[in-house]
Formats: sequence, structure tokens, C-alpha cells
Amino acid sequence: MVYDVTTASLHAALRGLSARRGVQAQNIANVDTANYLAQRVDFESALGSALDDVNRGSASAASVARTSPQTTTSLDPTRLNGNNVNLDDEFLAQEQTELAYSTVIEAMSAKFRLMRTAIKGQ
Amino acid sequence: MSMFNAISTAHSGLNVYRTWLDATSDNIANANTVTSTDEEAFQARRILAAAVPGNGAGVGGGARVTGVEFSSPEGRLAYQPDHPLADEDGMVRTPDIDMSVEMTSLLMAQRGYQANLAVVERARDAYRAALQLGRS
Repeated sequence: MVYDVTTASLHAALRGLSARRGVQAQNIANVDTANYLAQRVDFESALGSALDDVNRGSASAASVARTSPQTTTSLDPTRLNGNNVNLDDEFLAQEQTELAYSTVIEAMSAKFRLMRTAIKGQ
Repeated sequence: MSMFNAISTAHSGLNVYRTWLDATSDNIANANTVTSTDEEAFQARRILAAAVPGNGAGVGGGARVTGVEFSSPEGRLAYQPDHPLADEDGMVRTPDIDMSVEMTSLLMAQRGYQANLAVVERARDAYRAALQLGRS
């Protein structure tokens, strides 16, 4: 199958990471908005439990592909204007998200390279 | 995120140094805050930091702020008879803040912050280089 568990989980990770990237941009844009609370994206827990189900044999690649990233509100303490965005946190998280994104892209290219080799038969 | 440990560790250091910078700037801002002698003087804040235990691999997990220590509420008494808050002896209370100490702290906090940012950059370059493995 072309859309196996590897491709599905990498795809879900890419979706989660790009959702996280959007939320981080939004947090940075609202760094001085009164009463704005920073948002966080979690896709790792949903993806992790879906992959556990696959390992136990109770789920397939389709259920991994169906996992969706969850957005939650940060509980960090707020400043005087009711805002709790922390620029250091956001920039470092952006850095980590970008690295994770490149890593996943790299893994996906490796997977497609393998398939291409199999198709060409060399 | 445990995938990029060096970045998370430098992140914790950045938080400590930023808190220190914030506290120092507050101390400097209040260096001349005068109170009357029957009130407490402004108390300078000193940040306390501690190491974060690692995850078992023998490497620590960075640093964190554990608390704040305050300088003496007595401050220093100064003779300023024409100050509106002066008591009948002409005394007011000024905070126990030494500008040379605060400016040194400011420098150290700034350098520490920059050092942690440098770690983030180096770690990022290292991880990027790792991504190039296997490409020819």
C-alpha cells in the first residue's frame, strides 16, 4: 500500500506541526493584545495513542490519518494586561517546530525514495 | 519536547536570565523610590536559581527560578528635610540598593542571556547538519 502507517503518521505529524506553526505566529502577533491567552497545539498524544492501537493490531493506517491536532489555552501566569504570551518561549518553540518539520520532511522523502526504488526495480 | 534537548536546556537558561533581567530592571527603576520613615523601604529583589535534574542520561535538564530573596525593608535613612515625606527630624527612607551591584547584575544577566541564545543557534546548526546525513 502507498498510504501505509509510516506515511499516515508522517502526514499527521506534518499537519500537527503546521497547525502549531500557525498558532505560534498568532501568539507572536498578539504579544501585546490585552487579555489574549497563548495557544498551544498538541498532536503528539493523539498520534501516539493511535500508533499504540496500530501496534496492538486494533487500528489501521486510516485511523492514524484521522488524528487531528488539539489546540489548548496556555495556563501560564498573565501580565498586568491579562496577556501571557512570552516571546522567548514562542521563538524557541518556532525553532523547534521548524527543526521537527524538516526532520519529518526528510523522513518522508526517504520513504518516497524507497518506494521509487521499488517501482523502478533497480 | 524531548527531541531537541540542547534547545530545551538553553530555553530554561534563557528564562532564568530573563527573570534576572526583569528583577534587576525593577530594582534600578526603584533605586530612588523614597518612603516615609514609618513605612518599609522598597525591597530589591534577588533571583534564586537551581539546577533542574536530568532525565537519567547523566545530563542535567537546565536551570529554573526557585524563588526571590528581598533586601532589607529598613533600607537606608537619609536626611532630606524639604522632602514631602520627611518626618519631624527631616529623615526619609531610601531603598538599600547599590547601583554598582545592580549594573553588574545587569551585565551578567545580559551576557548569560546572550550565551544561552548562542547555544540555541549552535544546537540548531548541529541538528540541521544531522539532517544532511545520508544525502549525497
